[in-house]
Amino acid sequence: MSSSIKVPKRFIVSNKVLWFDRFMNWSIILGGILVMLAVFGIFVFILGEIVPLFKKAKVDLDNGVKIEALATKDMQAYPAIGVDEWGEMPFIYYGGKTIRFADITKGNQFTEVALPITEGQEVTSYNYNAVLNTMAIAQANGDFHILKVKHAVDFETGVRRLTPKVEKVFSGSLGAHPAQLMAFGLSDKEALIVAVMDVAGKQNVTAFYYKQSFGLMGGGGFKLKESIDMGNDLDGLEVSSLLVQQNAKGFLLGTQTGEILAFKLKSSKLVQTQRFHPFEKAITDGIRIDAVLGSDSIVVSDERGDQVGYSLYKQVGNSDRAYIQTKTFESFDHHVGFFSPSTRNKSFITGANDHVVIRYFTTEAQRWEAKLPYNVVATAIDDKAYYLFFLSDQGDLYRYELDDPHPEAGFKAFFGKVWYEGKSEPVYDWQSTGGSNEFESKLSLVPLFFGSIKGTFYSLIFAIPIALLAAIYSASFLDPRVKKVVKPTMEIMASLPSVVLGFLAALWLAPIIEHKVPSIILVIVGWPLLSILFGFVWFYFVPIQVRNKLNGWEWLVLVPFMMFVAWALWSLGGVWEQSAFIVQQYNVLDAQGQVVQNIIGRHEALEFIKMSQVVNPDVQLTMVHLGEAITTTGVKMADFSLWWTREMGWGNYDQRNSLVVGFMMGFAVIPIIFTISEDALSNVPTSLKSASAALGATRWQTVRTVVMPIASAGIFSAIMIGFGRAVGETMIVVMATGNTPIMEWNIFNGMRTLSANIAVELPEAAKQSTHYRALFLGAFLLFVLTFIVNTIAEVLRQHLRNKYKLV
Amino acid sequence: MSTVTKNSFIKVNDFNFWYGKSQALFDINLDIKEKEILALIGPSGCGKSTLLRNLNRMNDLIEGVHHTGDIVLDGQSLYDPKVEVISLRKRVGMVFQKYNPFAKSIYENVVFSLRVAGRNNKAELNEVVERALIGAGLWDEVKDRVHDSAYSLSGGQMQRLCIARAIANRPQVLLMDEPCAALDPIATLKIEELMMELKKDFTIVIVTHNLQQGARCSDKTAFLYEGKVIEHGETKQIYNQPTQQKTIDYITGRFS
Repeated sequence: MSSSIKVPKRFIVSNKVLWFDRFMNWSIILGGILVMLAVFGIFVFILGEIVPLFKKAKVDLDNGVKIEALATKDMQAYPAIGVDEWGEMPFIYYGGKTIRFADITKGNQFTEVALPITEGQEVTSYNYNAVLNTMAIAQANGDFHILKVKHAVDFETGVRRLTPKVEKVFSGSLGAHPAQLMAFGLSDKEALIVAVMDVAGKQNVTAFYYKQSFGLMGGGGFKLKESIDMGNDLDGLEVSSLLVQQNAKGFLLGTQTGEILAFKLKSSKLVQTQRFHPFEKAITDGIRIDAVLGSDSIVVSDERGDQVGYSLYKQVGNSDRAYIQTKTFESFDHHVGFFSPSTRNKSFITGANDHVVIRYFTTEAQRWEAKLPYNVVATAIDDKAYYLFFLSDQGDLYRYELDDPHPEAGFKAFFGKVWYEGKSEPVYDWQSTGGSNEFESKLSLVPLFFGSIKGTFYSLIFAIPIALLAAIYSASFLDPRVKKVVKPTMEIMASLPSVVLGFLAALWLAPIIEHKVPSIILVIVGWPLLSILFGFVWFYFVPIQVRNKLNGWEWLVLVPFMMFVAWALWSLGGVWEQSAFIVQQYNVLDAQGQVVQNIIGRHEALEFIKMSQVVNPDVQLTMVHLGEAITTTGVKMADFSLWWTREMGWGNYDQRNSLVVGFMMGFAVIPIIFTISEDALSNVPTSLKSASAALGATRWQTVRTVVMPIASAGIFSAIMIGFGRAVGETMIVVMATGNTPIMEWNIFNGMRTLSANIAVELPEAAKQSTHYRALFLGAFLLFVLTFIVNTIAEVLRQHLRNKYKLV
Repeated sequence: MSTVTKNSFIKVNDFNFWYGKSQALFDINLDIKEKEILALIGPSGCGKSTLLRNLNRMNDLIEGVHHTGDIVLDGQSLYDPKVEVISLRKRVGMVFQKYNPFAKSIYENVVFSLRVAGRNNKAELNEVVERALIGAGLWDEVKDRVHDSAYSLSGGQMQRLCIARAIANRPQVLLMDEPCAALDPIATLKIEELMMELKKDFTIVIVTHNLQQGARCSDKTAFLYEGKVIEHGETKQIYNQPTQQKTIDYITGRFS
């Protein structure tokens, strides 16, 4: 082997050198791998947070708990079942004097709790509301009772012990007739009880409005305020179902022929607000009306198993909300037999016979579906949504574990148009949290994505021209001595904390801009034009000796000139506003020439007329010629923001708007684009610049024809890195955009970007909640956006680099 | 060669030149006649390139330079404050030591000086391309592919392309800064032959390290040493009967 060959000592490298070399090699490799692992780790972490959002609900059907014979087989068709918040003590009621409670932990031992109702009278109708844990019971003599079902908790034995209780909220009388159907709505202050009674073979609907009187000592009990008999209003329709809004503001009647009549309580009077057929096909066996959590949405099902969702929405030009069909669910092909709303979100369990589904109202999503080995007659879900309860037609109760932590999530919720409660059309909207469980979270990421793009767009159209021109000037025109100062200064600017920029934007720039928009327009348009004019004057009127002397120092003359121009244009802005941005007051006249209203702004006046026509179609005739209906009152004022919003109707004007963000984020982006593209321009070989100069090209010709093509790849990278910075920028947009998730290109209103959204909402999002994960989905979207843009950029950059490759 | 009748075309008068604080040229006086080739020879760092680059004011692009004295081209001072440097450079073409074509087609490289002067007439440009490439001895080799990238050429071809580019707009003077330094002997030979052709139309100043080349193709030779012109005269005289000891040392190879 080689050991036999004697190597002279001077050719031997010392072990120290070799070891150090090896050590450095491995350190560098290790560092590289760690970086890759870190990026990959972040990716995996984010992915881990968002994947559960797209999972369907899971119900563990294999490990159910069965309680046999909770009900007898001769129970009524619609027994009421309910459960405590831990899912341990379900109960059933299907008429009679007692409620039967079962304890899951103890098996088939039942506790009967007597109801505080009138003795000796048969129960004719009952209704249980799982959201309120409240039962209404009507008796043959016309008495009714509102009862609260409670599970009292104590820890006396060291473990949690539940004691079932039934408490009376209040009682009253429906009159002398027994109720066939009754339903109730109950809030802290008021209650609405509606009963359908059999009066001599004919149906009579009566509503009872109760109010709770409050004294110094708290609630003083519910007192009957009004009882409204609507007997004749029904036109001989046969009522098959009844639903009272949970907030006691109104109720709905479903008829045997499938019609819905909506009534509203308005200053102690019932007003029929709507009458409609939810299904096109003829109905003979009545419809079901059920409420999902809250008072705004209902699910209507028919005998064929069709199911649709209706929500209250804001009609154009009408303050009254009306029901409109917003959802269509898959049909069951059988009579829908049961329905339970979740008490924590808009999901509900429903189905027909052995076919059971969990649906989410807002997104129309089918969360879970199964065929059970038995027919179901009633369902329940506990408050924590950990368990599902099914009552079979044999009277057995089954409990299964439910795993559905993110029912409101899904592709449609994040990226689709959704018709939310109270909206007049399907929209993209982000409003993640509300005041109560009843709030419908709006989780569309589309407006946030739009906001990111909008903010980036406005900042880049401001930053790119300035940064690139500055880089060209600095690389090819400016005297090198000045450049030595300018370049590091710009680099320091790049490291300015964005919170400082955001603070300046929000508290200093935004209020200035608000009143100086015409000045800003003048400066933006006038500055470049006048600087070009300055170039002409400089070239044609300034003697060559002076120009030669100031070669590279032209800015000494230009800067004072531009400062003066800026000052002059800024001042002129006020004058311009006084003459061009006039808002007038208008009179709106009716057909007789009478002034109906005076309104500031032409657009507002036209809108007013349009609205009036919608609300009152009679007005339409007199308002055909919109132009003629308006006369000005002669009151004028000059104000750009009013002019923009009220006179022209081009959208809102917010103080913190895209213009402010464009400026400030532009300032954050300019140094980055400047520095990188300046490097690219400066790195073009001097030999080429010299060759161009030696051929008699001017500095600008050299830049344009020789330098720019070669530097194009670098300049492109600079812009892309600027783009990346603008997309990911957070503090400036948090502080200066107003964070309104709207989708308009209007430069004078704000936006909410993905990054700002994460910064603003992550602190208030409960860990692992849908909201929390949705924010991570936003982060993932940012990740993907930058990834795609960077990939495209890199491909284009390589293409440019190959095209203008040097020898 | 009868150079006696020719007028003095470029006059360098008492020219001193500084890079920052270090002086590179000392009291240079030179006379260059029309349509003659002057070779500047001398050891590295003697200032021959500096002097050459002052003839078209390329040194302006360097930071912190200044000068005294004057250079007169065809009766006009180069350093007159009224001189438009751009038009001066149109009169004085330059070929650099290392070929430096633009990242454009052969055609666009040649017509560059016309384009920047705003001349875009297609017919004129075509004619200029042909004439310049013939003038640079490149036409036969590239006439079928003038729209190919200039970087598709070999090194020697690129340097001849640079010469074509420099002569396209018919300057009065052609400056060549060691044009063959990066070329092999065959390409060098071609360039030398080319220079003899070009001499018919242009006044040429060439900087060279190659004494044989200087001897072969120049009319006059100036020997520079440490920023000073040591000896200036007919090439034959400088090479055969140098008067200065330094010139003798240099030519005989005592130092280089």
